[in-house]
Order: sequence, then structure tokens, then C-alpha cells
Amino acid sequence: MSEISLSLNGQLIQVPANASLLSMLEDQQITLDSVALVRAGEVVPKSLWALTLCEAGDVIELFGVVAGG
Amino acid sequence: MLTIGDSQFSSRLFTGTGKFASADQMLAALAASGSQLVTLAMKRLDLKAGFDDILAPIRQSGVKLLPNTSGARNAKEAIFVAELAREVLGTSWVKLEIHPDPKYLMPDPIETFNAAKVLCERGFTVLPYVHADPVLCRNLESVGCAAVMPLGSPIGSNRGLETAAFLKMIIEQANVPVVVDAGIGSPSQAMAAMEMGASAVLVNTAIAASRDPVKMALCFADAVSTGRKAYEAGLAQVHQRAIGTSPQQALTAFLSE
Repeated sequence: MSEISLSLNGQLIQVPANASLLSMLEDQQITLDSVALVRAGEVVPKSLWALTLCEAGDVIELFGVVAGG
Repeated sequence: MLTIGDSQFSSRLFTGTGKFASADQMLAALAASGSQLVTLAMKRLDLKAGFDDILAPIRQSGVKLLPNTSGARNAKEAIFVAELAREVLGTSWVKLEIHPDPKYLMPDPIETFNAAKVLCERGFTVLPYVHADPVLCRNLESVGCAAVMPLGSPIGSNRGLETAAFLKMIIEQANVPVVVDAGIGSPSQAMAAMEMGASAVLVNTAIAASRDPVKMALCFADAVSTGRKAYEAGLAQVHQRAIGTSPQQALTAFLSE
């Protein structure tokens, strides 16, 4: 199966060409219910992760929750 | 009970989660505080460094979450952070804070107002962190903010209610809850804010950076509760001159007759 590369929080990773955002996150062992995903500067709602395919050259950023006042 | 937006709170002490020595200490202090609304921040994940999930235990404790927009330098960034927080936490509540100045962390009033307006229009429950500016607070109320959060003194400074005179004006004029946020360094200062008529206070550093955060959280809980009761009981009037509490007739005048 062919692979594509994309940027995840600044790291270049390889994913199968037909990978969804959801499967990519699962492969990366990301805790799904505690992150938000931004693709090309736009928040992608969780409900769309399984339906959205990764594309070569995607720039994806994950944000999580930390302690704060 | 305190009502903000669609939620009710029996505790008027809100707490932050920053600066604790460990997650366990933070959870113990939050529990001791009785706080029902706790703040969190958003951060871009560092995938190499791993990521300590504080969210799961806080969620389990059943408190309401108030994500902040700390790190945002302008309205556009703050709106983006609020959207991220809504996505992660499933809450439309947001503590809107925009403080681009790193030395004093003074909130930017113009960017905060502009962001508040957009976020209210998008259905967020907005609690803006602002300077103790009565005009700004009224303007934020008029665009739909659920509460206002004026500062007592700079974030983390523990200097107390340096803005007291202006907090009083804000409290007098506001039709939404006033939460005194930032700078409260001791239980007596929290109590003073509550006696003044603040609806609640938000405390983080004073608890987290104390020698015994759990004990200090209990002290703040007591102080906030007592201060609120004193406000409800109605403080007696302040006078410039003495007003006697005992009979004032000349008791021993007969001796000189």
C-alpha cells in the first residue's frame, strides 16, 4: 500500500494513502477525547475525523488541555 | 446560589489548576476548596515530550470546566482558542483572557471586547478577564457576557485588591455576576472581595504556591463563605467620628458636686 507523508505538530509522519484522520490519530496513540485537531488552520470537528482522509502534505496540529489559571 | 449563564454554583470560590507541584496535589486541593468551576488552559501538544493527561481526573471529579484563552495575543487568536476548547471539552464556557504584555499580564481591553462580542454571537458563555474598568465591564455586559472578571492586582502577584475602589463601582453597576480574578493572595483578601459584594472569586496561585495547598484551599473556602455571609448580613455603616456603644452620660459627675 502506498504511503503519504504529512506534518503532525511539526513532525513528519508516514500514513497509508487512504488513512482517515481518525486512523492516523489511533496509529499515533493519541488520546482521542482530550485533543482538538486543526488542519490547515481550521478546527476539524471530532465527528468528521473518521470521514476525512489524510492528504499528502497536510499540516495538522493537535491541541490539548493543560493546567492553567 | 450563584447563577452564571445556565449554571448554578453553591460555592463562590472558583479555582485554577496551574502551578501545583503535582496532579495529585492539585486534585486534593480542588476537592478541599469545594470549587465547582475550575480553569484550564489549552496547549499545542509536544508529541515527543508526551503529555500528562490532567483532564480525565478533573472530569471525574464532576466540576464544571472553564477553559481559558491564555496565550492568545489578540481577539482572533482568542476566538480560535475558544473554538479549540469547545471542541476538546465540549463546553461553550470560556474565560476570555488576552494579555500580550508578559511583564504585568495586563488584559488588552480592546481585543478582549472585540473577541467577547464575536464569541457571544457564536453562542459561547463568555467570562472575560479584564482590568477593573467599570465602563469596559458595562460594555462587555451589553454584548452578552455572562459575567465579568475584573482583576484585583496582576496575575500571580498575591497583592490583593489594589483596585478595590473600582471593583466597588463595577459591583454596584453590574447586572451580571462579578468574579474578582487575579492577584488575590490571602484568604482575608478573598473575604474582603466577598464582603464588598463580589459574586465569586477566582484563586489559583495563592493556593497552589502555598506551603500546604490543601489546607490553604480549606482556608479560602471558609473565607469566601464567611465574606459572602457578611455581605448578606449587611455591614454596619462606616463613620469618620466615634459613635459610642455605651451610655454617654457623665457617670461620676456627682463626685465633683
